[in-house]
Amino acid sequence: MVRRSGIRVAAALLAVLAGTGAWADGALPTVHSLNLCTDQLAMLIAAPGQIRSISELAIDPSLSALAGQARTYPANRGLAEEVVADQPDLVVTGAWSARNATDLLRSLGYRVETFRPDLTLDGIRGDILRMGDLLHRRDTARELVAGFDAELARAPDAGCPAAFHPRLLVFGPNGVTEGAGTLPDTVIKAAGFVNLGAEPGTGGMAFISLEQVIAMRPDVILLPADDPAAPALAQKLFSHPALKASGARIVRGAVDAALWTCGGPFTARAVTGLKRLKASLPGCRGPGS
Amino acid sequence: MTRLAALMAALAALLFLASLAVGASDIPVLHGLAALVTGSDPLAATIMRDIRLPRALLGLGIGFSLGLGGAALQGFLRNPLAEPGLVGVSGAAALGAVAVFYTGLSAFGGFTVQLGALAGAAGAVVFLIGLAGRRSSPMTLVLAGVALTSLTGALTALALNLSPNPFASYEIIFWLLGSLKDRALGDAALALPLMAAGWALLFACASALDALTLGDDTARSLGVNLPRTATMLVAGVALSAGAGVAVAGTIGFVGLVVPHLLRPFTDERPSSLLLASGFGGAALLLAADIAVRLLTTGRELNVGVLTALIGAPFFLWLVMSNRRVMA
Repeated sequence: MVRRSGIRVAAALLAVLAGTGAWADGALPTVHSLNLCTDQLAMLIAAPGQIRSISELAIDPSLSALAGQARTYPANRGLAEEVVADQPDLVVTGAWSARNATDLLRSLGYRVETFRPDLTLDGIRGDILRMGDLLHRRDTARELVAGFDAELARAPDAGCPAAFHPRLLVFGPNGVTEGAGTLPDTVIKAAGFVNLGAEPGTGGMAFISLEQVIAMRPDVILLPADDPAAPALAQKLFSHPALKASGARIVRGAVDAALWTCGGPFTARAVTGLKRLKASLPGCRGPGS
Repeated sequence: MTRLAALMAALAALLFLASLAVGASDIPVLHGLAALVTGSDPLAATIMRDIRLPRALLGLGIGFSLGLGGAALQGFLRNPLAEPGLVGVSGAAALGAVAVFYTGLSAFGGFTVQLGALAGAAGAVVFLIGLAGRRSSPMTLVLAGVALTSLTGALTALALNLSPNPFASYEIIFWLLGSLKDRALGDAALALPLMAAGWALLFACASALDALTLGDDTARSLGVNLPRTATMLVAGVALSAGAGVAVAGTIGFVGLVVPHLLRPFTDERPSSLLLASGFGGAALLLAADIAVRLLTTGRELNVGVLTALIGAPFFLWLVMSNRRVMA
């Protein structure tokens, strides 16, 4: 306990010092990330040499918006042993992921900072700034938030009537949709759509049957961008004739799933993508696209 | 058609209509049926024609195949525990379908997945007749079937785990405990002709199955060509069971339960059981498939789970009473 609180005091001191800009680049804390979402925030904010390792999920392009950049860092499997071998100044991870590793590392005296999944746009801003503070890169974090807000302010759908809120349904593999309160729900609403997945009041990830999809009369059905290289029944459902017969606009790939799997500055691009889609719908033909 | 078969046919027809009436969305029954025929309300017509009709058709066809296949196998092998699911035929068909679908061979379209399932099913029937033989005890057959089911189940799981598609491994449950959810009319159009061909072959075996109850020698003297009958039976079971597995996964126990329930009401001749058992199987599967839709909302229970829940205790009871007879 003594050691842990000692580390906390030291960390608070470090944060104060960083705020005053008294730290040279060479003394920036090194970081080891165990979670896909903290991986991406760290990669965007950290200075060269600060990142010791990121999780292996970060190189998967279907999950990570920064898969290409992620390949340049050593990957970890989220094990406490890897952290101990690495001796970073700071460990960042998700609040719900690898709890055993988190507890073990804390008991070993490591500073572990956990991030909850981002569910709102404000949450994303807060997490960018928090990561900036942790890494002593507050200015970079502020620039990222400014860029995020600038992207959100873009309005390719400016030509649409203000009251135009088309009904959109995300239909993922095996009938998974995005329920109320999820990050995709936030993005869909921010782009001016009604998220039909939030209607049944399920919350979180929800399952819907094909029949419910048709009965909800969506204006837009959003399918995943691309089929993986290998076939699975999960993708076969997307070519079901009932989807085509529903009269809804079937869209593939308007949003890269990696943009809203984790919250980050890139999530604003998902909002812009959906706004662009909205501008292309009948009922919204005008300038601004 | 015997009275029993007519009764079962009426029951299956009733449940077919009930299957069309049940779904996640609230469409008034008569309005839905009207939309199915006339296409009046486009939304209801889409739901009825593209989602519920294929499901009901496949329930009818697959149930009929399982009931008929069970009755024919039990008659031919003179073995009360014979059933496509239990003896590994369905499992082998699933493995065949998986091998074709997940490797991408199905991109060649049409009947390729069906052919994989048929090959698997036919291989399993040949293997069982070769290994367990027609004169073996029920236990030998069941043990051979258990071995085959475990092996094909393990290979199916292995194939799906090796697939680079992240969703493939979740689909193990579908292939081992099948489902009729969200099939398309195209699936039914692929499966039903193959099943019908299998049914024709099995019905053509009817009189030979009757003769075989008197023993092989008597049957031969009555003009039964044993190798020919065996070939027709293998092809018939493979076609009817395999075609169903290719679109709906493995649905177990229907072929075991139904012939046993109906046999006491027949004159004990296999031929008199075939048609009644087919319709009975259709009725049972349609009823189970209606039940899974009514019991669970959201993430629907696989119908194979329900038939196993009904069938496994029945199977246990059958094994117990069989042991008493043999002891």
